[in-house]
Amino acid sequence: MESTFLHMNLDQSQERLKSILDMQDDVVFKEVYIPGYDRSGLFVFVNGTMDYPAFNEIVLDLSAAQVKTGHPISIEQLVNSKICSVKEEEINTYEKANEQIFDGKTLLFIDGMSTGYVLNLEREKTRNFAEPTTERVVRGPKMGFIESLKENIGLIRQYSSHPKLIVKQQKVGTLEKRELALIYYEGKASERLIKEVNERIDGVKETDFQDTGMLEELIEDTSFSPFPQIQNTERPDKVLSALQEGRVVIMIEGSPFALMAPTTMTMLLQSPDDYYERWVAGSFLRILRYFSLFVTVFLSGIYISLVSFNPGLLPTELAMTIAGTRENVPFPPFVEAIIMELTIELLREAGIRLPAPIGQTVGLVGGVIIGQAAVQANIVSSLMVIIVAITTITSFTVPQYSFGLAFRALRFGAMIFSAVLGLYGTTLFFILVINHLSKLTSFQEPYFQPMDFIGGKTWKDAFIRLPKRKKGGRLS
Amino acid sequence: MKRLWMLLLIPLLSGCWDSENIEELSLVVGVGIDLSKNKNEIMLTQQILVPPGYSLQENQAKLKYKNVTVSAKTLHEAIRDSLLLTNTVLTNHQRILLINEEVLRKIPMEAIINQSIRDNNTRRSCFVFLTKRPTKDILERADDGEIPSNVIYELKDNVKRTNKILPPLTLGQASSSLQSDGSFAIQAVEIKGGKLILQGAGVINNSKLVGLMNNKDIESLNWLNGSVKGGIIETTHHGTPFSVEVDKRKRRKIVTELHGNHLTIDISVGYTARLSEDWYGKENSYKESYLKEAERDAEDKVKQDVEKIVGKLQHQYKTGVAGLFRYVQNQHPKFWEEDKEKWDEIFSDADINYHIDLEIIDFGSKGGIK
Amino acid sequence: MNERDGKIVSGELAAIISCGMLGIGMLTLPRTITEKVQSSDGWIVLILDGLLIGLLVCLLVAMLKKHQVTSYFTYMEEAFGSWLSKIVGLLIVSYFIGVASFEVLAMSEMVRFYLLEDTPEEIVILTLILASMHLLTGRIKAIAKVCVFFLPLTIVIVLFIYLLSIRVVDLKNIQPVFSKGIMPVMKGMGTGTLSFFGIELFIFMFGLVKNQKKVRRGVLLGFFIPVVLYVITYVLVVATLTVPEVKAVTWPTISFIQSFEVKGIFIERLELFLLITWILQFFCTHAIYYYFAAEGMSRIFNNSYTTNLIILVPVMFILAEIPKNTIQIFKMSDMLGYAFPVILIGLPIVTFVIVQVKRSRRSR
Repeated sequence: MESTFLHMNLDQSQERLKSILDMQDDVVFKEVYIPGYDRSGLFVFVNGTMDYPAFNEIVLDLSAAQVKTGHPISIEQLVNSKICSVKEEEINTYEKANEQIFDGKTLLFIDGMSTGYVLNLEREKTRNFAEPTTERVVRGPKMGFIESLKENIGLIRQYSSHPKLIVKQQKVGTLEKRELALIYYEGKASERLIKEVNERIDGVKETDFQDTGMLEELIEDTSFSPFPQIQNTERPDKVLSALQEGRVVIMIEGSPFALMAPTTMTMLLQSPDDYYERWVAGSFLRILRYFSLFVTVFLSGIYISLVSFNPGLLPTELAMTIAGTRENVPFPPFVEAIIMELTIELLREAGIRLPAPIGQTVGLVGGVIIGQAAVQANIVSSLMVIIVAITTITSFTVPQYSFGLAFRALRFGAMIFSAVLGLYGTTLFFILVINHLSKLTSFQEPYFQPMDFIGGKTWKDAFIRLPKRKKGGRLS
Repeated sequence: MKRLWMLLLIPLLSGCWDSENIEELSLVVGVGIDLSKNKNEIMLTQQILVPPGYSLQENQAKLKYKNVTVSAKTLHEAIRDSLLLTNTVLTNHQRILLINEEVLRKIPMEAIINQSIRDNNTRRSCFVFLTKRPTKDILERADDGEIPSNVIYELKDNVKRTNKILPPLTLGQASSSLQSDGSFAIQAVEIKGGKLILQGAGVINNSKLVGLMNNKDIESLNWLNGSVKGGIIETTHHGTPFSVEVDKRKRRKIVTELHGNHLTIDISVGYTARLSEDWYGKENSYKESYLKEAERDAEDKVKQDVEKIVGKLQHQYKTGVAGLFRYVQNQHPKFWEEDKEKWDEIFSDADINYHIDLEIIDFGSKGGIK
Repeated sequence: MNERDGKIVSGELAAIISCGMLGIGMLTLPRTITEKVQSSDGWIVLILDGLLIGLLVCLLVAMLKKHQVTSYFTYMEEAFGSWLSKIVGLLIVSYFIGVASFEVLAMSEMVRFYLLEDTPEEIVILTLILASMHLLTGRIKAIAKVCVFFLPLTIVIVLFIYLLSIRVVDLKNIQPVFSKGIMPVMKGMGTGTLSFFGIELFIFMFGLVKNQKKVRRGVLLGFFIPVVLYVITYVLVVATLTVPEVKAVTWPTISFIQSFEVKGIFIERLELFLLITWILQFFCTHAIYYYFAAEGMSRIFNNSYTTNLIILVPVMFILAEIPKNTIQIFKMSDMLGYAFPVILIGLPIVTFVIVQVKRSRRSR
C-alpha cells in the first residue's frame, strides 16, 4: 500500500482520518486548544482503551501552557515535554496512524505539524493476580499469572533481578498481532535449545494465537502422541525454577499459561510443593504419583484380563468373590468396564462444563447414585464400580492436567488390548507405551529418561526427593 | 508411525479367543480319586465352588459347592467327561487332592498325579491326602455349610500346634520325591463323629502304598524326621502323668557312617520345651533337678517312640520314609551312586541311633512348691 | 544428552547386554544344565563359566580397543576384504535373525502354555514383532531406554519373588557339592556357556558407546547381572524341585514358582509377575537381536535401515512358524547354540589376528 503523509493542516488531517476510519464507530476524536500558542490539537483514540485520568492530566497540562517570554520554546518542545511520560513514537503517515489506533494507542496531532505523536494511554483490562486454579498447592506462593504479558513479565522480573535473565519479545500473528515473549537465563539455557525454539517460533509466526495451548501444539516435536511435550503452568515459582534449570519459557499476551520447554516425564509428575514440604512427605507423594499413574492406566485392563482370561492367577477367595459379584451381570468384563469408565469420564466432563456449584452436584449424583443403581440393576458388578472409582481418583493425582488427560485416554487402550489378548495384551500395551515414551523427545531432548531413575545424578530427584542440603544447596 | 498402530489393531477385529468369564467357569477346589465300580476305570470327584450370588440385602453370602463325579480310564478323560455335566473346569484353584487307598494299591502314584503335574493349570502347591473311605464321601461331608476341601486345607495348618499331623505334602513335593527315591509318608483324612479329621497316614514306596500308620506312628515319625514344630510329649513321672510342650528345635545333626555295606546313622536333636501340665502333687519346678528329671523322662519317652517307628519302618514297611537317604547321598555320594537301587535293603539293615536332648526352659505361670 | 548422536552411555550398554542375555535362558536353564551335569552342581558350572567368559570379555574389549574399532562391520571389511566380509556379515545377520525369531517363538510358546491357550500363536508372534518394530524406529537410543527401564523392574520383581520363595527352598537338595567329582562339572561347562547367549552383542555395540574408557565396566556389569540372577535361579529351582524333577519339567522356573503360594498379600500367585516380566524380557531380547540384524543388513546391502526393518518382519515371522512342536523348538535353540561360541570367540579372534597382521605389514 502506498503510504500517504500526514497533512500539515489539522482540519485536513481530521477529514482524512475520518474517511479512513469511516466504518469504525468507536473511534473518538477530541480537540484540544493550546491557548499559549493559539494552536489546536487533535486526540484520536479508540473508545474503551483509554485511561481517562491520565488523558485528562495531559489535556489540562496542554491547555494551561503559557509562552514564557524569557526563553520561548517552540510548540514541538512544549508538546514533547508535556507528553514525554507516555509518548511512544512519532508517525508521519496515515497508515501508521491507522495501525496504532487499533493497537490501543492514542494519537495526538497538532495543527501545523506534519508529525503525529503516538501516546500510550492504554488502560489494560486485566483481572487481579489470584491463586492459580489449575495447580493448587497447599504450601507455597499463591500467586498466579494473569492475562497480561506485561504484568506477567513484571512478576518474573520482580522475583528474579538477575541481569542475565533475558526477555525477548516479538509480535506474532497476522490478524491480531500479539506480543510473544521468550524468556531464559543466558548461559544456563543451551545455545542449541534457544536456536531450536527460535526456529520453531519463526515457523509459526503467521498464526494467530488465543492461548499458549495453540502455540504448544504447533511447536511440539510430534503431534502423534498423547503426551504433552511442553509443560505449561500458571505459577511464577514454577517458571522461575524452570529458568534456573536452563529451560526456556514462552509466554503470549492474553494467556495466563506459560510454556516451559524442554520437558521430561518426571517434570510433569512433580509438583512445586514437593520442594516446599518436608522431604519425606515430598518423596512419599512423588512415589504415590508414579504408582497412581500405573493404576490409572492398567487397573481396569488387569481386571479384565484376570477375570476373563486368567482367573487362575487370582487368589482363590478373591476369585470366588468376583465370580459372586458378577453372577447376574449380563456383560463380559470388558463391556462392563467400558460402560463404567465412559460414564465416569462423561460425568467428569459434565462437571467441568457446568457452573461450579452444579458441577459438584453432578459429580456426586452421577458417581454415587448411578454407581449404586447400576450395581443394583445388575448392569455392572460392584467390584467394577470400585475399580473405576480407584482409577478415577488416581488419575487426579497428576499435577499437570494435560498429562493426566493423556493417561485417562490411554486407559481405554489398555482395556482394549486386555480384552483381546488378556494378560499378554496388557503387557503388550505396557511395552508399547514405554516404546513410545522412549522415542518421544521434547525439543530434541529425551522425554523419558529411565537412566534418571537408576543411574546418573538426577535419579534421586526423579523418584524421591532427598533433603536439599545434600543436593548442594540448590533447588532443581 | 501412524500406520504401524493401525496394523496392531488388526487382531482386534477378529475377536478374543481365550476370553471366558469367571462366573461361567467351574472353580475346582478339591479333587478326589477313587476306583470305579467299572473295571479298570477310576472315578474322579471334583468339588466345584458355586458363586454365592450377590444381593444387597444379604451381607454375608455363604459359599456353596457341588460335587461332580465321573468315571473314565484316565484322569484327563474324566476331567473332560465332567464337562458334560458342568461348566468349563478351572483347576488353577485346586487346593487339595484326595487319593483313596485302594487306588494307590492298584495304580502307581506317579501315574495318578501325572496329569496334574503335567497340566499347566493345576498348581504344584496343591496338597495331597490319602483317604480310607471313598473320597466321594469325604468331599460330601459338609459341616455348617462349610466346604470340605477348605476344611481339610485349613486343618493342615495345625501342624504347628500338634505333632500328630505330618507336614503337608504338596503335589510338587510328591512329584519330586517320586522322582528321587519314591518313598514318603502321606497324611490321611478320615471322618469321625460326622466331622472331617486328619488321622493316620500311608507309607508310599516306589509309587505304591505299602502300609498304614496310626497317629502314634505319625508322631514318632515326625520326631525321627525332625519335623516336629510343636505339640506335646506326654509321659509319666512319679507315677503321675505330665506333659511337656515342645517349643523350638535347637539343633539337628545327622551323621552317617559306612562300614562296607553296613550303614550307621546317628541322629541327635535338641529341643527347648515348656512344662505345660503336671499332675504330680509334689511338684517343685523351681528346683533344677526336678526339671532335669522331667526332661529325662520326656526324652526317654521320645526315644522309645522313635525306636518303635524305626523298627516298624525297617521291618514292616522296609522303606526309608524318613528322608534319611539325603544325608547318605550328601555324606557318601559315591556309595549312593552305586547302591541307590538297594537303598531299601540298606536302610532296613542300618543301625539307627537316636539321641534327643530336651531342655525345659519354662514352666508356665505356675511352678508349684510343696 | 543429545538425542541425535545415537551414542549410548556405559550404563545403557550394561542394560542392553543384560536384557539381551535374560531371555529364554532363565526359564529353562536349570533343566538344560542339570541334564548335562547330572547332579546339582550346575551352579558351580555357571559361576566358573561366568568367570571364564568374563575374562574372555576383558580380553576382547582390550583387543577391540587396541584396534580402535568403531563399527564391527567396517572392521571385518578391513580383515576379510569387501566380499568375504559381506558373506561373514550375512552369516552373522542370519544368526541374529535366528535368535530373534527363536526368542519370539519361545515367548509365544510360554504365552500359549500359561496365558492364552486358544489364541492363534501367529497373533502373539506377529504382535510382538510389530511391537519391536515400533520400538526400533527409534534405533539404539530407544532400545537403550527401554532396557534401562525394564531391567531394574525385572530384577526387583524376580528378587521379590525369590525372597518369598525361601520357605519352600530346601538347600539339602543341592548338596553334596561335587557329588560325582569334577568331571561332569567340566563337561557341563560346554553347555553352561550357552546360557550366556547375548553377551556376543557387545562386540557389535562397541563403537556406539560414548565413553570408550568405560566400555569394559559396562560390559562386565551387564554380563554379571544375568550371571548372578542365573546362579540364584539355579540354586533356588534345583533346591526346591530336586535334580530328577528339574530334569523332568519343561519350564522349571515357572514350576518352581507355582510350587508355593503367598498368603496374606493381594496376589498369592506370583507366577503372574514372573510371566509379565518375562514377556518384557523376551521382548527386549527379541528387539535387540532384531535391531542388530537390521543394522547389519543395512551395512551389507547399503540400503535403508527402515526398509530392512520391514523386510525382516515376514522373515522372522516365517522362521518362527517353522518349528512345529516343543521338541523342535528346543532343537532350534541347540542349533543356535553352536553358532554362539563361534561368534563370541572364533570370529573376533580371527578378525583380530588378520587385522593385526595386515596393519603391521602396512606400517612396515
